[in-house]
Amino acid sequence: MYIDAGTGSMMLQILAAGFFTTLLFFKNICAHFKRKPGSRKE
Amino acid sequence: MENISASFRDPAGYVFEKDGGLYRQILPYGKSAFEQFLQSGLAEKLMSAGKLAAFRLEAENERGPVLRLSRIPYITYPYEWSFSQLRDAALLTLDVTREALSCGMILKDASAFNVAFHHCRPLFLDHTSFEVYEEGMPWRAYRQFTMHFLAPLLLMKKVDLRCLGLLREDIGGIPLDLASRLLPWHTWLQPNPLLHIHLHALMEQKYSSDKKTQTPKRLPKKRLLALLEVMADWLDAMKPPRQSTEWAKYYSDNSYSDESFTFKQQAVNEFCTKNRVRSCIDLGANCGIFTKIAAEYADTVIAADYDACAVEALYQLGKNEQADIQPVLLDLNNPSPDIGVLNVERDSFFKRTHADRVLGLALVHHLRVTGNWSISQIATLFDKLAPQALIEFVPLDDVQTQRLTRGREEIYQDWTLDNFRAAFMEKFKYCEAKPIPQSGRVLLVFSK
Repeated sequence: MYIDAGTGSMMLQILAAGFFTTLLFFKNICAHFKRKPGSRKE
Repeated sequence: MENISASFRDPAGYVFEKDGGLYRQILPYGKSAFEQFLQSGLAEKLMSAGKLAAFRLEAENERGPVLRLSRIPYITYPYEWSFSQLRDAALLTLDVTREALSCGMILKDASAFNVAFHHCRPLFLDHTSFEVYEEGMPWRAYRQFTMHFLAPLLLMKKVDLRCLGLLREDIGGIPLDLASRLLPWHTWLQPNPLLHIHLHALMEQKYSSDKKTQTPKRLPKKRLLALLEVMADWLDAMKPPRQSTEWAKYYSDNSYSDESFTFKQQAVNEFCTKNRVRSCIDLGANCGIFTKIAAEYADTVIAADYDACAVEALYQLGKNEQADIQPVLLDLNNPSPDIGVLNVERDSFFKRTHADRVLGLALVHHLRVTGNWSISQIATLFDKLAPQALIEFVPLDDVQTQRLTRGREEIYQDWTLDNFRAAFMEKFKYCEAKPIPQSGRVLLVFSK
């Protein structure tokens, strides 16, 4: 099926993706420091 | 050969039925994407993981390949699902998109109608929903995903479970401006609803009045994957809202004595063990005590209830029992009608539903008293659904019926066992009555 993606929606997606990439980056840093020293990364 | 009306929108292919088999014709427009879908190994990967409806290449004609599809015994629509079903269907869609990206493809649409349930597991149905991914392209289906999944889930979670009905009103999904207006103010303070719904609605509004054509900007794959991952984590953590309803606890808070309840269970067991059947319908299934019995002797049980919490319980039951229970959110006073283009895109409940047997336990007095159905209409309902029926007749002097009539008994003077039986005998051939001990209720077995 083909759908109308919507310009506004595309713009928002780019904005949201940028925001969540930054969020994930900091989340991963926090997870790294929370990990006990010597424990293995899953 | 008969084309399936639900697949008419797709220029890449369509589904048709021939000699009892279900097929998909791939059209020239979708041929190269479909070849990539096969060659990249994505089709095999998704099928072996049980995420994609199985198919095999049947033939190739002048227009393109023809696939033979495995048939899902019963199809329910998103507006008939529980909260968890819609959430699991959303998670599957995101999962399929991520798998597709790993194989150089992407989903070009994200309709909730592309997902069906089999053994209470979501299954992706549309083999022509995949297109080749070009580095930097945004996810074209994001808007549809938001309208079909995120908006209804948030409305069910933050406003009311009954908001799911909005999907029936608009087959294209819940409009984002409407979702934004209906959601409570505090969702503006939460990052996911703020971005996916509120700001999304504002951006749509802003660009819809813009007369210049905007060239979509690039979205690196890494960022797209981050967006998909965050949405999946958010949905995964989203639990069904706690909404207490009378029906979800009907059998733990009822007027049955232990003896009468055991008798009822035995009678259902006896009715179901007569022979193993392909399908059984349990109307007014509540939390599924009798659905569970029916599922032991039927390949598929369609368990319908009008209470969203009961449908949620039925879905969890099917998952735990690993039985093919198909929960259906259904108000018999207003069942799912034919909807969509020319009213043929999505079939009504009655067009889709026919089984080998039907259960109607503690149900018919609600139809007569609350819904003001005539006895003859009740008989027609069961006649339409199956050739064998087990029905619990609840008389006028029963405490539950009294609760419903509230002193208006004179209107329902026709509600007698004799009248009930007589109306059913116009549709069915045989009748067996089993009075429930310590109760005025009677179990009636009708067959043709």
